[in-house]
Parts: sequence; C-alpha cells; structure tokens
Amino acid sequence: MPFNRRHLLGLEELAADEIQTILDTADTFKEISERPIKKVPALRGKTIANLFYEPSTRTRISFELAEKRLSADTVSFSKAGSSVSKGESLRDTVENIRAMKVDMVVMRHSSSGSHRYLANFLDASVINAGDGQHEHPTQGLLDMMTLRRHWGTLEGKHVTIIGDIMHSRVARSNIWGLTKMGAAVTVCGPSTMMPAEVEKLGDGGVRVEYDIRAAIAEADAINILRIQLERQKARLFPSMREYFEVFGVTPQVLEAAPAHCIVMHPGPMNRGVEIGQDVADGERAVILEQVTNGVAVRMAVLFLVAGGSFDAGAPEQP
Amino acid sequence: MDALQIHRTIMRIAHEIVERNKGVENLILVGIQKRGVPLAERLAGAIEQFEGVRVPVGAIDITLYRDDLQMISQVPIVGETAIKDDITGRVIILVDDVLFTGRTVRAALDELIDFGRPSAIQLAVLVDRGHREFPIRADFVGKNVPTSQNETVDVLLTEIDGEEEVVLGEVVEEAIQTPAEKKGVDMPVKAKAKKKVAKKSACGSKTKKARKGCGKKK
Repeated sequence: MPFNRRHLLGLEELAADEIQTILDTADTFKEISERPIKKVPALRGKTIANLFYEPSTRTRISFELAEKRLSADTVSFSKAGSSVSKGESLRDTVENIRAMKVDMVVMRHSSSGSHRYLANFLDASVINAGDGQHEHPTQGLLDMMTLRRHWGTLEGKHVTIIGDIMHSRVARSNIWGLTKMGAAVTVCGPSTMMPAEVEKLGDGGVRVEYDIRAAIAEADAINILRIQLERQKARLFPSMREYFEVFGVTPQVLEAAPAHCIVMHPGPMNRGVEIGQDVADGERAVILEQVTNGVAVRMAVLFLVAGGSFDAGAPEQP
Repeated sequence: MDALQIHRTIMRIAHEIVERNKGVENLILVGIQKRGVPLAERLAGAIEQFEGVRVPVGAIDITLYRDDLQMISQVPIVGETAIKDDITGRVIILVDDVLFTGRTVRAALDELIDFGRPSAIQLAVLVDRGHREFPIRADFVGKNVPTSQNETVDVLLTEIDGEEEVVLGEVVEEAIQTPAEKKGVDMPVKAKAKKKVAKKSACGSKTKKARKGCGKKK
C-alpha cells in the first residue's frame, strides 16, 4: 500500500500495511549504509530541522545520519544553549524555523501530544522522535525491523517487554506496532510502574505478568526497557539492586526463555540494573543491530513522508 | 516478439558482448530493476553455455536517483540493489528491457559511479523504442521498435510476469482522483497526477500492475 502521510506522529494511527511498507522500504535502505559512498540523492535540496528538547545521543545522531545519507540538508537544535533557556515557547521557536522554509521537522519533546500540536499549524512534515510518554514510533519500527529480519515475519510471534511500562513511550509504540502486525505482547514489570488497564492497550490487548520467568517462558524476543533513576527518587521501586534482583535480565533468568529467544534494548543501558553484564554482551543480544537498523528505518520514514503529496488522514478503522 | 524470438535475441546479444569485449575477463552484468535483472541473469547463463565461465551478475534499483522524485504523486517502491563485487577497473554491462528517453540509464550511471570507478560501462537493451531525451545510446540492441509518443512498449518476462512477450500498446491520459476528492472534502493538494494508462487488448491487468507506482520514464 502506498504510504501517503504527511507526518509520522505515532504507530497507533497506522494501518498494518502502512507499517509493512515502511519495513519493506527500510530493508532496501539498509544496503545503502554498506556502500562505499553512503549517500543517495533522494532528498536532495530538502531541509530538515532536528529539534531535540530532551537529551538524546543515538536517536539524534541516527536521524542526522539518515538525513545526510539521503542528501538532505540538516540543521540541529538542542535545548541547552538555545533561546528556549531564555523562555521562548515551542510555538515561537518553530514559527521562526518555519520562516526559514524548512521542509521537515524531527522533534523530541517532553510533552505528550506536542507533535500533533505542531502538525496542526505547520506546513512542514513532522516526525516524532519521542513525545513525553506517548510514542516513539521510529524506535517501535526499528525494533520490528530487527525482529522481522530474524524471524522473517512478526505474525504469531511472542514479544515480552520488561521494565517501566507506565512511563515508556518505547513500550507504547512497540505495543501498537507489534499487535497490529499480528504479534502477541506480554508486559512485565513492578506493579508500581504498570499503568492501569494496560491489558487493553494495542490492537487486541496485551498480557500482563509480574513474574519475569513466567513472562518470558514463551517469548521469541525480550525487549528490556531502561530504568530511569528518577523513578527511584519517586519511590516507585526501593533500590536499583532490588530491581535487578527481581526484574534484571541475567543469563540465569534467560534459562526460562526458549533457546532461540533474542534480547533487545533501546539504549542507553544501565548495566546491572535492568540488564546483566553478560546478557548485554552475550550472543543473544541484538542491541547493536537495532542501532544499525535505526538508521535504515529513519531513512525509510523520511523518504516516505517526504514523498507523500497530501495528508490522506487516518484510514478507516478495520 | 514472442518467446522464441526473445530467446534467440538474448543469445545473439550474449555473443556480441563477448565478441566486443574479446572475452569475458573483468565483465560484470548489472541489471536495472525490475526487468533488467532477469535479462542480466539470462545473459550470464547464455555466456556460461558457450564460454564455460560464469560472469558475475548484480542488480541496481534506480528509484532514488530518478530526476522526477519530487514530482510524482505516489512514493514509488524502492527495489533491491545488490552489487557484491568491487566495480573499480571492471567493465560493466548495464542491462535493461526497454530504452526510451534515456533517463533511467542516466540515473543508473550516476548510481553506478557511486560504487566505484569502472573502466567502462556498456549498455545492452532488449528493445530500443527511440525518442531519446538525453545523449544516451545502447551498445547492444535486441530489436529496434520505432514508436510514437503515445504508444507503449512492454516486455513481459516469465520470471516476473509469468509470460514471455513484447507487447505494443496505446496510452490514454486519465486524471486520478485523490482520496480527498473522492470523499468530497476540499483539501489543498500539492500535486495532481495524470496517470498514463495503457489500453491493452491482449494483456489485461498484469501489465497495468507492472507499471503501478512508477511513471514509465525510460
């Protein structure tokens, strides 16, 4: 199905065949990063502004590389050392950038829904690099691309997401994307970090487990979320050590999972908190592969969104 | 052209390639997606038959190098590019089914030299239908088919279309209704596309599907 959207705000509103198109395109783009000249002229002459209101290393560099590999001109803005520290509002910052005739805006912001707000008044295309606790669609897509490359398909597969589900936009995007593509999702984590009614999330719901070994017993993949240290200050768990004891993924814990199960992590990792040293460096971890796929997925998203000539809006809900 | 004529033409082109290059040393066959790829494979097979050597075969997809990417209304599907060997210092035989305006070959040349510095690039096409818009010519031609601007030439190959034929057709210009217009909603539309649809008597839906998502710019 041709991809006709002017923005990528989240995976919740995408149809399964749109996700399929993105993943198929990302597969062909992966080869470009292996050429001697890692550049194609697809977005030549397009200007893309990267607005990162929250700190980020890998997502920002990944987007910048994706843009440059498509020959687009990029300009990056981060909150520190900018007018935002002087009190400039989001809208004013963006209106200023818009006055400079930017074609696309890639934004990460701490307010959920900030991208929808922008998309409503900008001519430029808006790509969500993470909004508050709502969605991180390109992370969801690169996770699905990684899984699909390992198994050939997502249909009928089991994925267990472990960690702070309540505050995780990565978890939400993964849940929407995976369930739409026919995978079964289990979420696992401390009850203090599990949102109410989480079992209704996604296309068809997810399974909730509080025992990590039960959660991974049938998993084809485990996606481990980073524990933010601020959550400990908010007393959502007693100590990092105790979190590691109960929910940390170690080689011993992995014995409860099927032998073919792969281990993913969006990064950056807190070794010894949510993920054990030996798992992070072990052969079941595909973490660096996720990073490589991230550039390909972002190239695909930028290419497809730039090519969409009008906003067709959301397709009818099936 | 029917299946037998296509086969004989491919055999002849294979011989011409070997004759012109005085052997198969340093040759790489590169097919242009989509239909250039099975043609390149067939040429390699033919050369192997009478020379006993398998010439390496690669594939390129030129979608990202098209000169009309910003203008077409629907995002085209990007196919696979696979060039496994280093092309520097080698002779590349670019292979495509139909040579028309020459824009596809221009895009292929730009893409190839991003992979390295070949010592030469030669072009082999099954059909040359004239109407060049760029100074591009084929080194090896299967058949010259003079056409007018509102005719189409389609090559159908077993590997992709399930049948084997070169078909002539006619073009009918037709405006596509955007989904917004279909709903009756007034929405600003950036590009309104006019689709060239071939009127075919002998080929039916397979041919239209083969051209979907891409302008037939050659």
